[in-house]
Amino acid sequence: MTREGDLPRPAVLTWVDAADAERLRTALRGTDLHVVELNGALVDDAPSLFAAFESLLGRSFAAGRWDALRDVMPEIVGRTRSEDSCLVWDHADNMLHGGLPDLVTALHLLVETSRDLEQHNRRFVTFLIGEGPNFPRLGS
Amino acid sequence: MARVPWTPADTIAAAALSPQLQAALALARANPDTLPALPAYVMPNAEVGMKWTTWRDDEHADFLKKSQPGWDKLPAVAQNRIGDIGAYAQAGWNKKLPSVRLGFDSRVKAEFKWNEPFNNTNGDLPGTAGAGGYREYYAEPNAGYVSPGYTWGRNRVLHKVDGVGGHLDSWWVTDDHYVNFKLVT
Repeated sequence: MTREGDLPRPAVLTWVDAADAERLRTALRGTDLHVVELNGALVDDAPSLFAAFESLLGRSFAAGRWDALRDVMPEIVGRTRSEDSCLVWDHADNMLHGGLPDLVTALHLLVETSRDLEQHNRRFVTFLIGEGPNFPRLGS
Repeated sequence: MARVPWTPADTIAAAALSPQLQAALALARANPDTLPALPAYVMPNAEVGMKWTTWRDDEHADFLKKSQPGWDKLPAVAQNRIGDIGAYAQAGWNKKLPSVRLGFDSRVKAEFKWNEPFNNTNGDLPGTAGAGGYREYYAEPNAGYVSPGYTWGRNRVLHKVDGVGGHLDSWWVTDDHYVNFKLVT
């Protein structure tokens, strides 16, 4: 990131209070990161999460196969393959109501993607926006 | 397609595999750690750089756009020496190439994987779900297959490298992007 501004120190996973969502997006616009938005409003389990990722990719590909999602994730988050990127997953707290096992699997996959892309000198990080005590205010 | 967990009936003789999977399996068996050279269907980086015509239009335009600020900062004498923004962007792209390894013809547009961990996240293969225990090798896509994006077709070869769940040192294939798996006998 060239200007991190309001952003917390970049981590592979960053949890953000929904009250800071627009502040986060404003800060991200001041960086070189290609921002991929995952609309989590209707995502609360693995099937709905796969549907959301398929919507980002523009085609169906996985049907519940985590390893298939893992395989195409670089394509989802790095369209041009030459830029740093981030995933902004809003309403992520929806996953805490019965979808926690799927959230854990998804986060493991996202972390692996970050590590893979790091080997190609590319940054990829994920911001999880939600409400509740798991999502701290930016800068706190 | 919904996933199909493997059963012991799901086996296949190597000779019955598609030519692409046969070739990848033989290559992986002979070179399970690293390849002495990329397969012919994967262009080495040095050849990739000049393949502007194989870029998607939006990708090409995007890289040109990102190169514009740097180009604008160059003194006129440098711009004249380089020629134009296209040559400047191409040089920038070439600098990036050592950090990536790409298949880049009309069918193979993904990063090439060889001896990479495979997680077996759903547990469709023997072993502990999500614990891995497999190594993954990309195989050439079938003739005529056109990837809808940058992903690498559907052919994969897997090698079981731990003994959890049995099948230590066994070889597996999928020709539909992890929907069905077959144990190679």
